[in-house]
Amino acid sequence: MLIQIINGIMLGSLYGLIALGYSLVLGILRIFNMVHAEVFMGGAVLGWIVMTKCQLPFVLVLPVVLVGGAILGLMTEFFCVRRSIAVGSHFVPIATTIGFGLVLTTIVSNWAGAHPLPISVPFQYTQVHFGSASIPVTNVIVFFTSFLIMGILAYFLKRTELGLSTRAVGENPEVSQLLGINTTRVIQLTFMISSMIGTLSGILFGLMTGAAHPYMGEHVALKGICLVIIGGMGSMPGAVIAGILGGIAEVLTSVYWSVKYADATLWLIMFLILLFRPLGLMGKAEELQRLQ
Amino acid sequence: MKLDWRKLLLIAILGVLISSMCVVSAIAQQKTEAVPFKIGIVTSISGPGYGYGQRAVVGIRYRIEEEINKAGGINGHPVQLITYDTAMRPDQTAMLIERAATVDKVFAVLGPNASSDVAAGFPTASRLNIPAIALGGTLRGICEKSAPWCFASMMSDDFSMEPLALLMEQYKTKNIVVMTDSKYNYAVSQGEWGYKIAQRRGVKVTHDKGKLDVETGWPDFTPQVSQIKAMRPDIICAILYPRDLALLAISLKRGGIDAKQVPCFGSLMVLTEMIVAGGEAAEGWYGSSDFDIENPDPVQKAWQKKLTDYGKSISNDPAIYTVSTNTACGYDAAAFLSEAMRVAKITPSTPLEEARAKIRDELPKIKMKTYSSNEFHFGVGGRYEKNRLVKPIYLLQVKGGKLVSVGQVTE
Repeated sequence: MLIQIINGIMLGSLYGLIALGYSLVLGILRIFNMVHAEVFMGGAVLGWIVMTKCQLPFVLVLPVVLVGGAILGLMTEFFCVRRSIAVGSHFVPIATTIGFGLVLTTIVSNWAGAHPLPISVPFQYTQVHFGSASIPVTNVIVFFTSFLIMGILAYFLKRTELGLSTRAVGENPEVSQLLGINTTRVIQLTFMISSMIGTLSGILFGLMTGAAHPYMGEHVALKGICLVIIGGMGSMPGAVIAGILGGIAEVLTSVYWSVKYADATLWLIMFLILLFRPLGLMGKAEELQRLQ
Repeated sequence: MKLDWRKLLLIAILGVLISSMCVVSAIAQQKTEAVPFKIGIVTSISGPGYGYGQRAVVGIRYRIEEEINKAGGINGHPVQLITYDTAMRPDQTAMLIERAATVDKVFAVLGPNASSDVAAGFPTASRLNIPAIALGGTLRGICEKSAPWCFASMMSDDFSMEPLALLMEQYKTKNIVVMTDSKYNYAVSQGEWGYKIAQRRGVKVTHDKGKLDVETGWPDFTPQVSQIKAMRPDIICAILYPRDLALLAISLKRGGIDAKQVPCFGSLMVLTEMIVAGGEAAEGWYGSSDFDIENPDPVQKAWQKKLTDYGKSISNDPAIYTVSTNTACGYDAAAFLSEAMRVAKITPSTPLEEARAKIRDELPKIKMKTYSSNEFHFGVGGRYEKNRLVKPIYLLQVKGGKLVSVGQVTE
């Protein structure tokens, strides 16, 4: 049981990161960024290109994935969101980001094929031993890296001027603009950061499973939204906690009950939490008010 | 104005001459352009199962276009292949067979390939009285249920799993784990046969039935690997799609289970896609096939070379041009169908119902050597399912990134 809970926490740390990407855009811009799952896939595919196709050193993955994420974020903001936000619509971006995601998947699957793209690193078969149990070192790296990214994001939003400006725009874009904050730049930055988190999640997932493939985003798309709702709409700490709980629930269900019910368990948890706590685990009434 | 009757006569004669030339030319053209037979290929060209379908199409096209049509066609008439993409969707499959039979009026259907597509498509073919030769469809009994119209060129699940018995014998197995993809009926069926073989040999399955089952696209096998490690099996049997099998292989190796130490058996799904994606982790995995790529039979070797070259001329994707059981099954299906049409002496002008009935009646009688020195024929019932091609089954192992035959089952 203990080893399975550890497996669940490892997987959950990644789910938390994915949910964080959704939550960031939702919290600041009140938009569900539906292309986040395909950006996640893009990160894993970029990792495959760097490590397997181009046979470049592992250390080059990080800058490539970050730059790739930033570019995808800017593209999402420009093509899918800018015009809609300008006229005050927060529903049209749902459709445009879904469309953009489909385009990305089609491009990647036609170019790379539908079979898995192996992601190999020198230490991929190394294990970390805890008594009689052992965990792949890749999973441990994913766990610590996920929390490192979450920590960096929290520091950025709370302690840096740019982060505070981002939160200000999320609170009240009109007043922020009057105070001299360039809201367009902040929106672009939000999408860039969210997409960089997406691509990083993707490469970490690819590292954990050993492969990328064009349809891997499908697995996390709805799951991420479910976790955002469980954690509390717009609450980033809530998204992280929901991710970890989601990972544990998924693993324990698959091991002690059946894999068939693993996804359904997550949605059942969501229904139960909303039944007793409609705002989610860490959602606040004023936050929900602001998002509506 | 006076009419010049000579001019009029000249115009009339010229008109008659030109018309006659047109008619003669049309008749001549009709004679030189022989009307083709239309054959439908219903298989997965796109989607996650594109490799199986595309490889089968390579085999079919080679037989029909390179061998049959270039030699003058069937009974003097070329064959026109019309391809329908099921994208491995059973709802699509039934509809496409209906369209092929009733709208495009094909003489017969080659396909489908995926078991779920065959299960959906065969009743439609049966209802519409059109012969269909599945390129896969390994569920035992599926041909018998849809006899006499439906046939299959690939061996059934029970035979595909028999090499597991060879492994159990070789490794003196006492216990086994069985993991299947509960989303697809081919995997569930093969898993069932795995349990039956274990029972027959007195080998213990170390978990409750279905306990280790996963679904296609399951992201992280770490929890399942932790369970398997605790069970300490002598053999791991996993019936998953090649993509998921590769991820499982990687996960097992990361969890300290090397296929070179603990035999891992993946049945028909240990294919090129699995080996490429699994890399080092796929080494040592066992699989089964009714086609042995390393068979030293010179007839098969020569055929393989031609098919590989032909496949490369169509695509540079190794998942398509690498000759495998799917290629062989496509080739066999096309070979048996064209032979049945030849023997039945049908032509494109034969009434469709009559032609289809003749094909249905001739197919079970044919015995022929296709891609190898072995003579194949359709089973008549009992151990060898009625209307399913009888072939040997090979136990294969991944060695140096290639599938090598290490055993054979003939009964």
